Amino acid sequence: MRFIATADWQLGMTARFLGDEARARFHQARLDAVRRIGEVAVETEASFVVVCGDVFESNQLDRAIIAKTFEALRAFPVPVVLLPGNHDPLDAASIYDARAFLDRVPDHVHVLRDAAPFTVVEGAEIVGAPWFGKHPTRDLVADACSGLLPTPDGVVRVIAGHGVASTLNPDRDALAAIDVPTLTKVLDGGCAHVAVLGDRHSTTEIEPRIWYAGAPEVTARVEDDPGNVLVVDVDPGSRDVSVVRRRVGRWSFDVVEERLDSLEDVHRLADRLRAIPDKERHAIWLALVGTLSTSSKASLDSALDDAGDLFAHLDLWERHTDLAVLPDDHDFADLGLSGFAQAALDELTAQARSEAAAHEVSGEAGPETVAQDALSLLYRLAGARR
Amino acid sequence: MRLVRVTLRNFRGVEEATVTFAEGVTVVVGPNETGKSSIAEAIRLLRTTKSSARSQAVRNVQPVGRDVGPEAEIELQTGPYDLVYRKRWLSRPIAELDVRAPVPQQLSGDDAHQRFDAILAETVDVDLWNALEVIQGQALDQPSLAHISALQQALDDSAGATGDHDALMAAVDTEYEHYFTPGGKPRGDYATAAATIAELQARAAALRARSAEMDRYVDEHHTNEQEFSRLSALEVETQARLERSEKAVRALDSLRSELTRTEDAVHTAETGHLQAVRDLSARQSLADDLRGRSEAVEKAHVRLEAATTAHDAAGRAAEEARSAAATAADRATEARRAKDDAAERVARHRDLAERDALAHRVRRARDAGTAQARAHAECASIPVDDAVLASLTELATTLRVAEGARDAAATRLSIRALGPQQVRVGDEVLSEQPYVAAVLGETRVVVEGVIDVVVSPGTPPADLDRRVDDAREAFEAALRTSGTESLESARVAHERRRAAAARRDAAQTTLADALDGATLDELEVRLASLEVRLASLEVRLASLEQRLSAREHQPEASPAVAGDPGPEAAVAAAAAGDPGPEAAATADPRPGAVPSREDLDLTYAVAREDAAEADAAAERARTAHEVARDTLATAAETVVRAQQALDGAAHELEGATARLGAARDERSDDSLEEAVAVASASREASQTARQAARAAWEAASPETLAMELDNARALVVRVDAELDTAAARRVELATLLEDRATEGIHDALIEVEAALERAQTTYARTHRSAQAVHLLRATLRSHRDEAQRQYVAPFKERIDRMGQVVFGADFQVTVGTDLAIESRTLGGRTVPFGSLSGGAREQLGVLGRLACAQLVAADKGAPVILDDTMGFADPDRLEQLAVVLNDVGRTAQVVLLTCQPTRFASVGNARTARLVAS
Repeated sequence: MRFIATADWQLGMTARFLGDEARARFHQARLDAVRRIGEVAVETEASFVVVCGDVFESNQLDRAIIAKTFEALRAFPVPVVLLPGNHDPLDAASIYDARAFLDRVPDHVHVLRDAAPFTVVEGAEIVGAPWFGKHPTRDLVADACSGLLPTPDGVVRVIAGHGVASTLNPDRDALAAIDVPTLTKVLDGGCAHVAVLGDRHSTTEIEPRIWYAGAPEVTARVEDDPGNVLVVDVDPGSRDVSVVRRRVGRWSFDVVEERLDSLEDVHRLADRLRAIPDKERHAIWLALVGTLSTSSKASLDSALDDAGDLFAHLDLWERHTDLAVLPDDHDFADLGLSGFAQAALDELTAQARSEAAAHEVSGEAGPETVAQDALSLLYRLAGARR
Repeated sequence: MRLVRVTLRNFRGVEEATVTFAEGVTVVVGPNETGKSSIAEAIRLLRTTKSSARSQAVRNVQPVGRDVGPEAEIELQTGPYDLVYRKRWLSRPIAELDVRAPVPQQLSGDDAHQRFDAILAETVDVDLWNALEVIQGQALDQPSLAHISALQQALDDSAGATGDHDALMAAVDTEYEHYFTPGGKPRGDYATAAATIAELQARAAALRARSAEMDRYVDEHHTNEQEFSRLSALEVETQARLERSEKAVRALDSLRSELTRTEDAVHTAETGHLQAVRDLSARQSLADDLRGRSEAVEKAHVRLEAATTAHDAAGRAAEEARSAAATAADRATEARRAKDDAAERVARHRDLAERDALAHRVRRARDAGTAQARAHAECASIPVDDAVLASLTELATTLRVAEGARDAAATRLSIRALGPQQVRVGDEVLSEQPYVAAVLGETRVVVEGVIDVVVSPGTPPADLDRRVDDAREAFEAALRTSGTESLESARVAHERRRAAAARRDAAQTTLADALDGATLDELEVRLASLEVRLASLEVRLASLEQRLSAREHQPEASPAVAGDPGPEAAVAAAAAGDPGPEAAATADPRPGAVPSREDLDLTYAVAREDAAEADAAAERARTAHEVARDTLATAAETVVRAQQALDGAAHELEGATARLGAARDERSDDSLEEAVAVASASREASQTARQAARAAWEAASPETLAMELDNARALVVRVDAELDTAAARRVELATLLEDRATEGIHDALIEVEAALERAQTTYARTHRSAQAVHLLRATLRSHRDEAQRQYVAPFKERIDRMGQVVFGADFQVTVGTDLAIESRTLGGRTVPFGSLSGGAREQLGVLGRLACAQLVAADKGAPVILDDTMGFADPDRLEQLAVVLNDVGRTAQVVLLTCQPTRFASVGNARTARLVAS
């Protein structure tokens, strides 16, 4: 029995740091990822798709997302089983109870509204642990499994859950954490073959047979391995389980760290950025440290300005950036400054040096750089004249 | 640059005129309208206006009434160039440039115009040229010198490099204005970003609040659902409970009616019993009444008898009291008489004593009177009283004194016998004592046998003898008068007389004592009256004695007190006292016996006391009698009353007897008692029945049941209400949630947050850029201003130096960084440029231009052209200005256009050119 396990579609989600155009594309990218999951299902001849929670970003979404979701799911040749998670619980405001959902849900799309085993296709049943509110006080998965008997012969039983696994949760006492030993016991006891979980956006194997599917499209900068779905093969007889990752995500959120102390460093960074493919689906945070001359900084600014137009997002990660800009002997030599302009330059340079020294002492990133900025501006305006 | 020559043709009023300029100062003199101003204008037009132009400026210089084109030609040296430039406008326009050096070149038309501009731009600071030119009427303005690079260069050269960064400053200003208004306030994106952020934050907060509200509705919905379930279950339960309660309460009703019925029976039985008891009690009351009234009659009877007895006793007592009072009154009369008798006896005794005393006194008085008369007579018989004796004594003394005096004058004879012979002096024999005497007569001293001495006195002084004689006569006369013979006899007589006087006085005293203030006659009268009174007393006493003696012989009669004397009478008798025989005996004067005064007084006192006591006893007896009489009256009244009471009681007894009889005829006493017994039994039976009914009722605990029923009903109502509320709220919440769900709060929030993020990014970037440009501009400007302050110094020095020549040694100006004169100080007073007079402003303006011309090197400079200036200056100023102009003319070209030939006549090295009107 082969099926596709996925989770955390977070449909309706977008990123506030993106510009209007990129944000719209990012929003659409999540639906596109869903479409590709359907394609993977076709390719792999999977029997069904189970989505382990957080199908929707929120119950407070504009209901228009429902129609778009159904449109994407319509191409799926196999049943799709949806599990409500913490973002879209089955509470009074549940999106699954919205008129738009109930009226138009396609026949092959199912919502797990309780923990009763659901026979998705012949020979396969899913035991889901749906969320009924945002703040459960019990291990929902353990509850769902508590009454399970060993699986009948020839039937594959899949546990679909959502939440923090106890082995990953630093807060061991969290009431709603999924207790991994308990779950393992259920699997070992022959009451189920495999457990797939949602909530963690990076694809993760907790234990053999216990997996986080991860989000099919990246959602945040901190994620390790997003953008995958799991193709799961279960042999009901031998109880063997094999799990294969398939990448469906197209977007990347990356942090680029560089030390910049010379114009060459600036050029290297520019080259590195230039080499990144699919820039329009890339969000880049720059963590830059070092000391640049005013002219090198002007080059950096210019390079970043150029690259910024290409990427979905390109910005300095202020908290991790500590870049001092100080004029060197050559910066202003060719600009023909004399008299009072030279005196003003000297004063600003002195201020910039004391700023840089202050940064060094405080050790904090992103501090006051007004004199350095003024020098850069002077460099630009004086240079622009020639 | 230097002007060499200007030629005008058909230019305004000038048909043709050429002015050649000196290297220094050139004064062009010409009346107005002759074209002196036209020279400056021509130069300007050549520079600025193409020959093809037909502008108003060009038409203004066309000669009036002639169809010819105005034409101007200028020759000048500038930089390396030496050129002639000519233009004609309007009619057959031409433009020709003839460059003669360094490389000859001829151009015409636009080429000439452009080439000329290029040459000027290359060699001359056009701004400076404009600034140094003073058009007529504009002289009061200051030139704007700050941006003239030639001047700045010159000032830089003199003050050290400042650099020329106008373009940089302009770029910085442009950048600055991108973020800030001229006033330094944020503008554009910079200004709007902050406002946008605030607005977006508010919107985001509102959306988050709305989202949270929706979450709360979800939570509440959940809670409400739980509550709804609970209430539904509770409703079923409470309904069942209500039914149970109602059933129990229904069962209670029959018990309650039984209780009511028995309670009514008890009430009826109690009423019957009460009536029977009441009837019986009424019968008993009647019997009691009768008994009471019989007793009352008996009591009245007893009371009447007692009253009658008392009345009789009172009658007797009154009688007794009356007789006792009469007896006491007799006793009192008797006692009073006895008292009077005793008093008379006392009076007689006293009169007797008085008579004896009086008689004695009369005797003494008569004896004393006799003695007194005798002594008086004796006294009168002897004349020598005290005065006579004193007179005699005095006279005797006087005689002796006189004799002494005579003797003293006589011879004194002193004889002492010495032997045993007798010596005789006169008749006297001398004793052993010596004889000492005066010789007043013949004295014979004889010693028998021996001597006979006669001593004769001399003749004595006459007066002494006479005095002796007189004294003797007086003495002897007095003796005769007194009836005495000598002094000694006088003295004896006197003594006798005195003794008689003493006796007389003693008799006198005795008499007075006996009389004791009265005369003898009075005493005798009194004595006589006493005798008479005594006599009458004696008569009365005698009769008294007779009476007494008669009484003694009369047998004594007891008072007539009969029977048993009452207590009042006894008291009266005791009070009257018992005269008793003893007292009578004491008071009774025995005839023949002379009772003493004391006895008489005692008798009288006893009699008086006896009388008083008898009076008191009589009074008491009388009072007792009165009391007894009152008692008797009271007793009589009591008897009457008692009789009346007895009559009333007897009457009532009759009535009561009649009533009881009638009642008993109607119903016997026994039947009444039986009725009471029957009613009592019936009451007890009904009470027992009620007790049983009540016990049954209370055993059913009706209060608890009632409370349970109330509670069950209230609970049903409440649960229903709460269930309704929960149901209503469920609908509300569902509606609210549906409503919120359609809003797409999450999407809206993301949009707003994205916008906010962008606004914040924009703001941060803009702010950073704004701060940078702000700092850059401020730094540049502060350094530029500082530099300008430095290069302003030489400019100011120039003006000061020239001004001191014109205005005096204390002249000074202050110059701003824009090289404008800001104020002038003269004579210690500092005046802002704008407040100066027109003349002073013009003069300072000219000085500024001249200073500028001097500072700028000749090859880079431009000529100073002053058109009709200094009209305001007085002659002294003009003289001094001429000195300055002459000095400036050494290094710079100056062209002065004036209509007054004398105005600049004093400039030493000036060339004068005259324009003559055609």
